[in-house]
Amino acid sequence: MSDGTIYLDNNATTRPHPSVVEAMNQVLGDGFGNPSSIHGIGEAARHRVEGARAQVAGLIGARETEIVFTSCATESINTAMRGVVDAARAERSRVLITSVEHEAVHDVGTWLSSRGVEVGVLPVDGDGVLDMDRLDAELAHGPVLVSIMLANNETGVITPVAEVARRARDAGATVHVDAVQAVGKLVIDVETLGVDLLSLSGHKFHAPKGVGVLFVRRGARSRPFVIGAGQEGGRRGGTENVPGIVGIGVAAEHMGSGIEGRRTHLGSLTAAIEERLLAISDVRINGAREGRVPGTVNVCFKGIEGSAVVLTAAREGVCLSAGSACAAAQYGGSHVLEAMGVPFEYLHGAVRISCCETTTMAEVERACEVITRSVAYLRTMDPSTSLGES
Amino acid sequence: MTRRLDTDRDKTLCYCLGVRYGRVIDTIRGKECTSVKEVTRSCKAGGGCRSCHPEIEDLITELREERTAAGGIIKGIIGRVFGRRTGGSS
Ligand code: FES
Repeated sequence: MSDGTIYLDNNATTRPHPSVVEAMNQVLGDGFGNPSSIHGIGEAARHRVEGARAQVAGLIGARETEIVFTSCATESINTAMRGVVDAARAERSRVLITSVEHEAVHDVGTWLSSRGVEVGVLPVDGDGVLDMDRLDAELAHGPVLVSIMLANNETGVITPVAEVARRARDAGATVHVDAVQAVGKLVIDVETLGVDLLSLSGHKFHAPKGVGVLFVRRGARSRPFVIGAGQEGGRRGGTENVPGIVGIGVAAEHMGSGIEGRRTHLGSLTAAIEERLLAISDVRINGAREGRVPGTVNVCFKGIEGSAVVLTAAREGVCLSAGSACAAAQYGGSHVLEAMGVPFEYLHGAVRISCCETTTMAEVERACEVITRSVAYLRTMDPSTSLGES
Repeated sequence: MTRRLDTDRDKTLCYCLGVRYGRVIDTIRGKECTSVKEVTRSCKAGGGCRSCHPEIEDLITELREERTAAGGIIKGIIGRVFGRRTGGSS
């Protein structure tokens, strides 16, 4: 960044791409119309929204009519999970999620279970990989919905979504995928993945905050969550956030191209980070060695607090995260690492480093130097060094 | 019908693991893989979201057909050569 800050917290949020900012500024200036208005200014806004819908549909191989704009991925997830349960309410009320889902999915699961819905939680192994035998056993109970993430926000571990979707749909379940962390790193194709609903968040892929997407396959049984004046084909009420929608459209087009080059770049950054950090003693990289989206490294340092490393590094201008940013303000270790069985003496020492396409090798090299120094310092100074040694 | 085998070798087949067509084809040929599991074990392709599994299965099938066809030709040649040498009765 221009002030020398090294930003390696891209799984928390990304900087809007210049082309996104430019397009949004244009809309904020002249494109203020309400897409529902039938005069020229409204029509122009509607035209821009529909253009963005086509761009997002292109990113995930969907039809334009299957794209619903929301305010964020959390709203998309609420709509997907609550909407499917609502639509099937009279028939079945069982939902399946995994132990490593984002808090949004877990919290909707908790809410559903407080309303009498049975919520099954599928375990993962030490590498964060899903237990497929348990999936089959749970599917035998006939869940109405299976909600699963494509790439984990903390570890980057990729879930076998296509296989889960095939088995779940054979069992008669609707499948929702949280694909928030996969955009621009994997090819997301709703046909080859075989999913019914899919959530995206604009600010995780260089669009602004305040805009998300829910893909709803034609014919999927789901009811709206935000009820209003019939916008988005009656699937999401509320006047459209036109600048945000324009922004997510431009970002979708940008991220849909050049995936191979981006992957290669992020892959070499990941390898460099891992090589440098594994040189530190008592360290572990979390998540399967293969089968992770490139650009995310989740590392645990034995006996120290990850948040202490993050704060120490921040003083030297390196922005990291201890686990997920959403959980950073909450007490306790990461539920994802806990689900993976990470030992206690490592659990609280988690640090997440997440890169984006503009991250440079020089930046990750400098960040690794800072982290190495921080860990050495904390191990000398911090009384919690004795964590887990009692 | 266009064959999967004719796809550009440098094109990525498995995005999750970043494996190209050429590498997958060479793996199936070299190790004589008969299942996606074997391919994943050997070259990692297919070890992520698994949406590329049908593509890998198609490649396995095409290569098996290719082997079978090649095997048939070789058998035919051997048959003809040995047939002539032994007087041709079978
Ligand atoms: S594309 Fe091959 S496993 Fe996802």
